[in-house]
Amino acid sequence: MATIANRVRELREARGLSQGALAEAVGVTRQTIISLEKGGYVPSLLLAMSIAERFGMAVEDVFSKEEDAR
Amino acid sequence: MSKVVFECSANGALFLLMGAAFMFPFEVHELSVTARGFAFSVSASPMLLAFLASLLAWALVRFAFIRRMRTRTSLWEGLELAAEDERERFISSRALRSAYVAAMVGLTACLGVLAAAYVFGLLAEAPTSTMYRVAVGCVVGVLFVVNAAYCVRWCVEYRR
Repeated sequence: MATIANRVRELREARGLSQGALAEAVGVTRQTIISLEKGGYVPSLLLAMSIAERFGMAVEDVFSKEEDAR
Repeated sequence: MSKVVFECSANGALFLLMGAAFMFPFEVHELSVTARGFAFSVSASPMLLAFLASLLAWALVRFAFIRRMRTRTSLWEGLELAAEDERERFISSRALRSAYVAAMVGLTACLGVLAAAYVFGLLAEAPTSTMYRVAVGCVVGVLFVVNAAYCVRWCVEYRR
């Protein structure tokens, strides 16, 4: 089954943003950012676009489709 | 997560207390008013009064809890259903699915118990109060299980 991989943690840390600050900027809870970074949550398109916009990047540069090895 | 645990624990306690109040009324105090063409009576038991008092206390504690949490939830919205963001909405939908399954299984099991009691004549000789208690017990049991299923699934999904 395919899933969505993301570079949120890497991009957030590179910009010196805390999880709470990113969460506030995109209108979700900190727990959602934590879960997103762990790969436990697949965001909606709207949230993915908001995060990419916050990083000043295209959605496909932050999120990518990944085929599950299993 | 604390809001769901808070609301579900309170709901669970209220369901049990409500069940106890209706299943074991103990000493019943009756107040009746009768006038020409009009009759009104109130029956209350210590357990029922305790249930009503706990409802009032719960409303006050809940109000204080919501104020303290500074959640976006309104006072009239169920805390366990309120979502702060899209992920919580997603978690609630999964928890509701578990609660639905628990409700269907619980209600079917209750019907099975009542049908078995009827078929084997277990309640045929029992007084009406026993049947009433069995029915109330079934309702309370299902409510408690559904509530617990929702809470457990919500917490498990939230921690992922």
